[in-house]
This record gives sequence, structure tokens and C-alpha cells, in this order.
Amino acid sequence: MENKWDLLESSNEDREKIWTKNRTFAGDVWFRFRKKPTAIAGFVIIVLLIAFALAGPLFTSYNYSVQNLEVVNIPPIMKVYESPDEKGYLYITQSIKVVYVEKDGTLGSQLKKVRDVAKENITIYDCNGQEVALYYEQKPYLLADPESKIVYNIKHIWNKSFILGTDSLGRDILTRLMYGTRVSLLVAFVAALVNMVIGIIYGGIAGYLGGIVDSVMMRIVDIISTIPLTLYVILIMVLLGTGLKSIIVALGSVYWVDMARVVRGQTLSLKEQEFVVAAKTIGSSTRTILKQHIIPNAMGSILVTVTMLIPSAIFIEAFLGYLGIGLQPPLASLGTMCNDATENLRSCPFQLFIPALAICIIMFAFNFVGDGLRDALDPKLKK
Amino acid sequence: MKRKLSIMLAMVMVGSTLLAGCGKSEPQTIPTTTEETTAEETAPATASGAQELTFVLSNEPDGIDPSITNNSFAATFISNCFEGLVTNDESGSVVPGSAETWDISEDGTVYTFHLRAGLKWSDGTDLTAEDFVYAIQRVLTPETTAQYVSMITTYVAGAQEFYDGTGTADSLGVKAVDAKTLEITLIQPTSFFIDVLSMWVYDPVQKATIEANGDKWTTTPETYVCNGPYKITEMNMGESVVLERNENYWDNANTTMDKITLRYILDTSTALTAYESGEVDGIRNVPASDVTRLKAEDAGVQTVPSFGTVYYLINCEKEPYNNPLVRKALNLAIDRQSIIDNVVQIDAQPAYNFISPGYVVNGVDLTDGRSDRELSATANVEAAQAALAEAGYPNGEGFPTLQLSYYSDDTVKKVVEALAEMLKTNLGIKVEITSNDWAIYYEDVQKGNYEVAAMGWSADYMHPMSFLPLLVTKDVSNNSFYSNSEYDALVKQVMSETDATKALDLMRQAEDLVMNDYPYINLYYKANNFLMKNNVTGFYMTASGNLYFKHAVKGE
Repeated sequence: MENKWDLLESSNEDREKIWTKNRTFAGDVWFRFRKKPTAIAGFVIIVLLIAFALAGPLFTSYNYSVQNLEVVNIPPIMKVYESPDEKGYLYITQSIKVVYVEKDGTLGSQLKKVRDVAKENITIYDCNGQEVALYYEQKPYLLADPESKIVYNIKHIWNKSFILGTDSLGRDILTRLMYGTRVSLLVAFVAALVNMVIGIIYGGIAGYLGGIVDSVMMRIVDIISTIPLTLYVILIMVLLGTGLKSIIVALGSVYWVDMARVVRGQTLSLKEQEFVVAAKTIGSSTRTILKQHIIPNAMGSILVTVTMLIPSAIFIEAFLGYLGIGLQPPLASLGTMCNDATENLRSCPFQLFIPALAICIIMFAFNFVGDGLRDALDPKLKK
Repeated sequence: MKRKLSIMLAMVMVGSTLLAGCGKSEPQTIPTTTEETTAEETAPATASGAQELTFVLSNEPDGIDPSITNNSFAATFISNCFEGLVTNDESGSVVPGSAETWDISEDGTVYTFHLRAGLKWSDGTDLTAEDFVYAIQRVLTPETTAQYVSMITTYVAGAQEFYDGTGTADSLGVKAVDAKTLEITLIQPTSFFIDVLSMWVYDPVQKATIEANGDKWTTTPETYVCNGPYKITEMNMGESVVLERNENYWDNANTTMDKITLRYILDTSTALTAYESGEVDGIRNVPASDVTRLKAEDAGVQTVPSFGTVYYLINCEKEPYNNPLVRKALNLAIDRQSIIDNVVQIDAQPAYNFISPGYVVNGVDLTDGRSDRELSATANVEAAQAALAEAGYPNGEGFPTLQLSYYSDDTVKKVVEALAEMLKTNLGIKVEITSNDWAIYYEDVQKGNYEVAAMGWSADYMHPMSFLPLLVTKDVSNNSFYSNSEYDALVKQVMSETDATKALDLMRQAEDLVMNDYPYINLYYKANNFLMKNNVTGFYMTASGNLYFKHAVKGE
């Protein structure tokens, strides 16, 4: 067709042809999903987080429980003094001890205290045979040569031994973050699983059968949803003992109620549609109708609900951990890491900042994906 | 899209401020003013301005009735508002309080106290020996629910019978001979009874106010009649309590501080903020992670050695902990110095024994020349593994998972995590950590429902007998279920030994005997930390944590 304004041939084939690009349902969703940059960003972050949590620990030389009490509360960026022999650096810790730092930024051990000169507010330390003086009379504390009183050169360098610093027991925060993220993702997975299995089946049956069955089943859902989840988790912990198991059991046993409501609502409207009536007429069983016709048609809202429920499940776990009723130490979750850090908040704010940021990123990622999916699955927004 | 951009921008800006610190700075020298300022500080403080103090308490006591409570949070109130027959001075030794002198009978069982002339209650009525008798009888009445009742029943003749209802006031060994003379008869000679007497459970209380107001007498300033250097003039529920000079106190002339406001700020870091901004003059509890900093800044950290020890109980009845070699291995595997320096971050002495230093007879401390039980400040991994191998678990093989229990507390949690890691790496055994709230936890510990558990002991009075019963077979406070009949016999002997030097010797023997069996993992000897501005002097705290304000002076 050279000229777009020419008349078309009026063959049957042309008349029936669908002129837009033909896409499958999934392809269509993906097409609209990838148009949204936030959704793609969220998706990429989730993939990165999974890689970080699962493969990350292979690349660090620590694990979540290994402690090094010589180097507690060291931040990611250290303000250091050049050592007198200029072969390394010296770092003053929050508890006013001096740690030797190699030229490349890896941490050595604490310097030996030689003596205290309380009169002048100085402590003398031994650095490879040379004396260095720590002046603590006023803030900021200074390291200087005890003879000439010249303060050593100050530099800010990255902590290469512990990229995100250490916590109050000298454990690597980066490694603990990986394990913490792992816990969060596990919780996300469990939440998604129970939603997809129990929520869909329960809601589907209630909605399709209707009548008295529906009433009874939905009243049970109402009862479950009135119990505050925090209280419920605490009760379960009394029964099963504290730990990740209890949180997962608690989430797993009640976290499907929202999904059940959504699926029931969808089923109620779908079961009146012609294609369901047709299926009934040709003698399909209830099971087949639910599986083949109703659930696939309700998949859009189901997916959206799941992606919206996952971040709140993650947040509940972090919150419980923060309250101190989550994992038992030394296991790490993002919530317990925040909890451990609050005591040190004045001297080491980074310990709270890092896991809190991780929680934010995870929540953002899942919410963005949920948003994107909702838009992509909504046929009304189809252009 | 615009909003997203601005979020991105904000993130980048946060990132760049984090990185902006990485600059170079000019070489600088230490200012040489240091010596001059330190010289000024040593000048003695003289009283100036209003003699008023604001002191922060971090916990509200469960009650301030000296007959009832044993709560350490009540100590600041009771030690300033009441005075027993004897009291503590700056050096911590027992000195005459309401009693001016006392005589002890030949056999050491009858104590006759001569009260000071002109003793008065804060409401102006006379304080007589009858008041002391009334107070002790009140403690021994079960309806009072006195928590320290055993501190009387163990020592005073007829007290247990009176408490059980089988004895009468006549058979009780506490009698007022006349208005100024009080006689206390003991079950058996007890060389340290005067030390026990310094506990507040022996303080007098006024019959009139209690009969008029019942249990409510401690809840309003008007009815809280007391006999110490201070009386309460204001009580604001959950907020503050105001103590003012008691004009009727016998030594009122020497009381220097006029008014003390005790404020409750439950969060220690909030209290610290108030202290650093100069809003208050002192705080009772200091956040652990700030102690070193405050000390370095000379911000008024007061460290008072406390007559107490922090230790971990080992259940001596349970397999495999009934084997002393296993307990020895656990003890050897701990790096005490590192826990003190890096985890708790306090100034404390590592403990190898359970009686804390501080008890002195004729200039000799009980703890002088005491064995270190083969322990050292740092871990001795080889010896620990050797002990464990000797017990039948080479390299920790076959050793059941160790249950390490603790009660919910930030500092204890950190210590437990550090301990667990030390035991894991040094002994090669598995460790599981469990925690509970104090009430549930303590019940479990008392039932023996634990393997290794966090605990500690602060003495109620300055005598090692406050510690020794902890390991006596079947004693209520023996939570490690250790049993050694030889030790039990020695402790009995100490109780009846009247000669302090001989008693000291016996106590050394007794401690030597049990500590070689390692019934505990001793960590460190306690110290009390509190903050008081440098211009305040003259206050003092005893080893049992009682803070006295009567001689405090506030300078410039």
C-alpha cells in the first residue's frame, strides 16, 4: 500500500484481520509494565536484593555471628590520624581506644596503653615502639605527638575491612545485612505462598458456593482479621518459643484473609458471567470451573493484592524484631539490627541508619512493583 | 517524573554530604591551656548560691516504706529520710545513727542501744525506743508483707516464732527498757550484726501516722513522717519528689544541702541530655555507651565500687554441668577483660571469685592474696579445651547444646552474645540463647529450669555473709544448686564466730573450698556509676548503693 488513503480491498480476510499488533495476555501486561520506570526500577532492585541476600555471604569472609571485640562500633568512613611512622593510620573509637589502621584501610588491632596522664587529660599509647598521645580534654579528641604536641594529619578513609562498619560486638554489618535481607525475603516468600494457596482456594470456594457456606466462611475471616497480628504472634511465641519459626507460623496461619476477601469478591461477580453459565451447561465440575475459568480471570487483582501484601508482611517482621520478640540472637534480621542500634544511637548513628535504609529500599521496591502491576493489569487503562 | 527526579536529587545530595567529610585539614597543635585549667579544678568547692539540687532517678520505686520494700530504687529516698540505730559514713563504715552508743553482753547475744537525747520525728513528736520496737514488730507481722523479713528472723531471738504466730511480743528479743534504751537479743552471737543493722528494714517508723493512715502513709508528704536529715515536702506522681531539710533531725546543724528535687526521667539517654544541658545536677543511671566519653570529658562521672559481683549461674545438678571439669572449662574459655572493655565498656575488675573486694578487717581485705583459680583476665583456650577433654568431650565432641539464658536487658543481651561466641569458638560447643522477661526468667532460674543463666548479686550489707549463703545446700538463694557439706559447716561456723579476724579466716577457707569447684562463671565486680556536676561535693554513696545528700555542698 503505497498510499495510505487508497481504498482497501474488501476481501473477507482483510475484513476480519486485527490490525493492531497481536500480543498474548502476559506480553500485553509486560508491555505496559515496562513502560513504567518506577516499576522496572522496583523489579531490578528486587532481583538485586535476592542476589545480595543469597549469594552475598559467599563473598564476605565473615558470617552473621563472628565477633571481633577489638574493633567494636567502627563506622564505614573513619576519621583517622596518620601514624608517626607514616606506615598506617590510627583511629579513635567511640569508647576512646586507639585502633591501628593499615594504609589500605583494613583494620589492625587496638594499640597498647602505656600510661595515663590524668593531670593533662592524656593517654599515651604505644604505636610500633613510638609513643602517641590521645588528648581527650575537649571534643573532638585528638591524637598528637606527646613531645611536640603537633596533631597528626587527619584524613577520612573508607573502612576496607568492614565496608558498612561494625556493630557493638564487632560484627560485620554488611554480612548481617545480607542475612537480615534473607529473613525479610523469606517472610515475603511465605506471605506470598499462603496468599496464593490458602487465600485463593478459600475465597474461591466461599464466593462460588455462596449462600450459607459463604456466610460461615466469611464470618471466620472476619473473626481472624479482628485479632491484632502483633498480639497473635506473641501468643504463638509463648506456645512455640521465640524464633523465626513462630513468626512464619503466625504469618502463615492468618495472613491470607485479605486475599480471601478479594478472591471471593471477584468470584461473586465472575460466576454470573455467560462463560461460567456455559461451562455449567456442558457439565463442568465446580473444581474445573474455578480452576479453568474463574481464577485465571481474577488473576489480575490477585497479583496486585499479593504484591501489596508482601511489603506489609516484611514490615511486620521488622517491627516485631525491633520490639525484641523476633529472632533470637545472634541471628540477624533488619528489625533486630535496628533494635540493637538504638542503645548506641548517640555515638554510632550509622548502625541504625543502615538497616533502616535497607528496610526502606525493600518496601519501596515491592510497592513500586505492585503499583506497576496494578496499572499493567487494569484493562481500563489499556490504550 | 519531576517528583521522581527531585527524590533522586535529594538522595544524591544526602550521599554527597556523607562523602563531603573526606577533605584534608591543616596541621594543628594541641592548645597549651590544658595545665592551667586542671590546676583550677583542684580548688575545694565552697558553698555559694542556693543550696538546692536536682537529681534524676531512672526508676520509680515500688514503695518508700522502709519496713516493706527491698527495692534498690527506693534507696535514695529511705537513706535520706530515715536513720536507723546505725548509719554509714563517707568511708562506708558503720557509725552511730539514732543510737549514740551501744553495749554488747559478754556472750555477744544481747545488744543494748542508748539512743541520743532529744530525738524527734519530722512532725516534732518525740522518738523513743518504743518506736523501734513497733517498727520491728510491724515487719514481723505477715500482713505487712515485708520483703526483708528474713534479715530479722535469721538473727533476732524469737523473731521467727513471732512471724509464724507461735511467739508473743514478750518472747521477741526486741525490747524497750526505757524511752532511751533499746535491747536486742540475738539467737546466737553474730559478729557482723551491727552491719546487718545498717539495713533500712531496722529503721523506725511512726506508729501514730501508720495507725491513722494505714498503707497510705507513704503517699502524701504530710503523713510521711520520718526521722532522717530530710523530709518530703512535695510528691508529684511519676514526675518528682521534693526533699527539704528536716529541722527536727538531731544533727540538723551539720546538714548543708537545703533542698533536693528528685526527678523521674525513665529514659536514660533523655536524662543525659537534661544533664548535659545543665537542667539537672546529677543522674543516677548513665547509658553504658556514654560512660567512657563522659569520663574523658570530666563531666562528673562518679564511680563507686559496689559490694557485688556479676556472674553466670551454672546448674550444678544437670548433666554434664555437674562435672566440675566442665564448669572449669566454661570459666577458662571466657575473655573477661574484653567483655569489660569492649562490650560493657566500664571500669571494672575481672572476677575469678564470687565475694567482691571491699570487706576489711584490721586493714586486711578478705580478698587480699586470694587465688585466681587458674583463671586470667583473657581466655586460656588451651587449658579450657584440656579441661573439657578431661571431662570426656575432646574438642567439644558429644557435648550437648548449651542453653544460655538471659533476662531482657540491653547490656545483658550484649554480654550474652559475646559469651556465646566465646564458648562456641574456644570450646567448639554449640550454644543456644534464650531470653525472657525478668519475672518469668527468675522463676525458671529458681526452679532450676536452665543450664547457664545470667545473674548477679549486690550485697545488702557490708559483710561477706551477704554472699556466703548463696552456695549453702538448699538455701533459698542457692540457684546453682551447688552442694558441699564441708562448706555448709564452715558457713555455720562463720555465723557464730565472734572474733572478726578468725571469721575472716573461716570465710576465706569457705570461699576457697567452693570456688575450686567453679559453681559460677564469675565475670566482674560491680561498680555503681552515676553523674554529679563537678561543683557539687560532699555527697557519698555506700557500696550497697545508698546515696547520702546531707553533707552535699553546691559551689559555683
